[in-house]
Amino acid sequence: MTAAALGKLFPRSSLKVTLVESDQIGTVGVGEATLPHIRFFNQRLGIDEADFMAKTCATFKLGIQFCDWARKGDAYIHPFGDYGRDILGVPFHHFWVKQSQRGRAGRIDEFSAPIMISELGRYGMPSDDERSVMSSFSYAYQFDAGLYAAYLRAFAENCGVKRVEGKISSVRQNGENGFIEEVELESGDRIGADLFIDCSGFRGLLIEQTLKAGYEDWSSVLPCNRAVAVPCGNAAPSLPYTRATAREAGWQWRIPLQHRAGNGYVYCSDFISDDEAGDTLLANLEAAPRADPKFLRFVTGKRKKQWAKNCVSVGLSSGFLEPLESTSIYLIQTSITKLIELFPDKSFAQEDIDEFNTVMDLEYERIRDFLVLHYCATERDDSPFWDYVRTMPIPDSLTYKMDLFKERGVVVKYKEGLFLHPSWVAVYLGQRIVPQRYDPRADAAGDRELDDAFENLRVLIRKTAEALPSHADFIKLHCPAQLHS
Amino acid sequence: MNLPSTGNLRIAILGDGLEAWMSAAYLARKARNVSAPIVISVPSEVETQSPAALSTTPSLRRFHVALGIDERDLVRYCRATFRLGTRFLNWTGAGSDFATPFAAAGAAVDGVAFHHYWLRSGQAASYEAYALGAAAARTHKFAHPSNDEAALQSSYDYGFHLDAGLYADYMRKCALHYGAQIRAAGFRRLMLDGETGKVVQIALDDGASVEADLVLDCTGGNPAGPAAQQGAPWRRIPAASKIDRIARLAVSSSESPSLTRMEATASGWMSDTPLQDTTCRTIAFSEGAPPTDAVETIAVENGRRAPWTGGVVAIGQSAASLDPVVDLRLDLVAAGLEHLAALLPAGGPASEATEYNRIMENVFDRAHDFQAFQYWLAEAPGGWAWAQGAGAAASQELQRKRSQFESRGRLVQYDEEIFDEDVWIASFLGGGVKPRRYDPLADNMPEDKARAMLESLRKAVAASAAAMPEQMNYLRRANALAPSGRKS
Repeated sequence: MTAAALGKLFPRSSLKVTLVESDQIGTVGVGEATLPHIRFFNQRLGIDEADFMAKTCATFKLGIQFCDWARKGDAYIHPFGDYGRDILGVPFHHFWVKQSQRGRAGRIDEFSAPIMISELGRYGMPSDDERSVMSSFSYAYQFDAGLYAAYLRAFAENCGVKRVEGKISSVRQNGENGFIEEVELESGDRIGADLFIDCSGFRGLLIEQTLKAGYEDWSSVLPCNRAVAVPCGNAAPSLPYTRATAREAGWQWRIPLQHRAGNGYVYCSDFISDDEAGDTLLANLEAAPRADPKFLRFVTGKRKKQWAKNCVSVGLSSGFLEPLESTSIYLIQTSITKLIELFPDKSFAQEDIDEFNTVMDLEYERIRDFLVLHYCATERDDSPFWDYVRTMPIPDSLTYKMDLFKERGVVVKYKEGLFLHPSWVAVYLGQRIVPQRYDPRADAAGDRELDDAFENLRVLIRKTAEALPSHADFIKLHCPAQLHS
Repeated sequence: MNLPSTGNLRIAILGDGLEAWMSAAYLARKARNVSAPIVISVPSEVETQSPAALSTTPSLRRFHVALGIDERDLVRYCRATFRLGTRFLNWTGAGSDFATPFAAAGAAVDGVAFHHYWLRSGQAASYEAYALGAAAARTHKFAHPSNDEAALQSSYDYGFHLDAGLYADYMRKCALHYGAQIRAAGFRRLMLDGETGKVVQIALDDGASVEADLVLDCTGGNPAGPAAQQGAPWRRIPAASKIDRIARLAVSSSESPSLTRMEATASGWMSDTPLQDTTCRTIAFSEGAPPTDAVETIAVENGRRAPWTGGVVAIGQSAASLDPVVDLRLDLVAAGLEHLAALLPAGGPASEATEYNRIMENVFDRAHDFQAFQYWLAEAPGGWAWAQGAGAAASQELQRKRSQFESRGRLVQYDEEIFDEDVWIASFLGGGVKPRRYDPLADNMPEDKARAMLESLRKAVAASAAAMPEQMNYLRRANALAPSGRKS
């Protein structure tokens, strides 16, 4: 992604990009589910959507379903869109709280077009017409990360990026300032550069092993430290959403692609063994596995400095947040965007490096709080893992936000930060944090008026969703997979 | 569950100045069916110190729309003019002259902001030469922006210059129209519930009392006001400059009605706010400078208090008295009310107050930053003595903003900024703060093409400004001129 973006966006005369990559080093491929932001990345690079979707076996994604999180048997979808509409400047969820206190609300899901479309397994493109309920949502993709990487590799090479195959055997630093001057490959070739971008994954070959940037460990609030992943066939037509099911010592993902489903169990090794986790995963597949389970280890947290000297870390080398809210590829994209915004010249101004680190720290911290919410707002007490996360001390910034919502339905707003108002509402309510009180302005609408408005909106959204083609049919028409082309 | 039912949130507003009437109008309109606010009308401490004219940013239009106000009616009533921006004379040294309009110069191209192309192409003309708002403001012009987003005529924005007394009067009429009630009596004290500490009654000096759940303190920084009685201490904050007193007077001026004019002098600064038939001048003096005329001066005191304490919400100048260098009085009242409307008490443990204070502290901090930044510009090389030390005293947020802009023209924006990116960028570049580098992606456009783009924009801006009507003619044709003879 980094090579493609730099190769495409910078004038070739001013920037020469070399990509050092080894086929011998496997890739992780957990980040197959994305957020709507990926569309802006692809658009900026001028990538054709149908072509890219066909070549990465992609499906559309309208949200993430969470099963068994607050209580066993619960299920809710965090949609990429709004619930209802603001009425006279008051957010819709206040009216929903009022209606549910009157026993007349029903599920808030029924007032979200993307949720209803998802539940019916249908799909339609969002509309630009603000009056339509089809304008109330956005969408992302579920794709094969390996195929996306290959797609971008070809794209990058077309943009003049030079690709070198090989493994790095040593790194040479400047004796005075510690800047990286060149890397040496096992072949003996040397590659020098002004700026090094470390996309080497968890181990952080340059940023950590060479520059010792340090790591901030967040496992006290995000204790999962292992994952086991395995693909399997699709038992049913692919769905337009990702699923995250809570398990005894973590959670299991299911990402439906056109040709298969990606599955994995993210767990904490203090509470379950690798063997048990692998068995649990295999016992909970919808179809036969298509490969042997792959095990991964990680520590949640982030690099203390994601940019040190002349080296910027992008992706897993910069930190790791479990993919519960599909943030992995988003974080890669954000690092790239910020790097471009703060692109250095040969003087490597310290204020730009500091700024990059400040912005990325904030991005990581705000996502961390949102992830922790899924764990701490639970009633589950059926395993030691859930006992731990239910009772662990959490960041003050999160306690503050949760209390405000619980007492008054207020969602704290920030200019920076990935997850916006509707996302917080979805997860608060889904995790059974229901406001005790609502905005008094919601009383401006009469009871009868409100009952009618709710019923009309419910019917409108249901009928709109029912009129759409199935997700599988939409894909067949729009972007059927082209494998091995 | 203890829920408010329709109409039982009792709001009392203390004060009879601008803040009080804006609050009453806004809450009567936006929180209707929740409360009909009662205005307890007491002489305000602040009103006597107020300028006769006020300048606002475009954000006040959102406030007017919420109130359902007919803009032409308001302009005519308040002897108002439309404001496209600010002109700074001698601000960054003798002979300097730049304008900061309320909207961008050119538009971004291929994801790269316009000012990078301007920086790259050698700055053939001043940055404001590419902004229609600036060109029109300087030449006395005004017309409402076009709704066609593709048109150059949609590329500027406007606020107002208003007569303070008439505006307060207009808001008072608005408040009464929407059902606010008036209780003419002096405020004596708050009476609290012994157990909860909540305000239950307001004792008046005629012996009667008024019941209230929420009290708005619109009495200015009154040390005996209700906010002070609820234990929200007024704290002095260090001034942004060496300016320590101001004088106000009416003048006649031939300057454009479409801009607020700031002029730096050795002893301080002067700001001119044009109304339809007069111009109101504020003269600011620095420590030790003798007044040039025998004008009466008022001391400048910067102070703040926690806006919401125990059932009393301080609005506008009751919550924060900021520097006079940028007039933000109405914008800060509007911000305080907009955030309050979204956090009206719902009968719980008052978590609204904590969140309201968190937001408003940000609002006031960012407003202070923008004012401090004006002095920082005036300080720079060979600048004015009264601005010395402004940079060193700047907040960390402001220092980061400037350092990022100086490094490569990137603008950092925080939560609750009053001024958008366009105004900041115009202030930096107009004020002579040039980035060391521009965005390297600007080099994707061939040099000759970039020059041609800049030149054609500059010409289009000049031609469009020339084609616009003079503001006074525009007002006359729109029947928005006040009948002569009415004064506040």
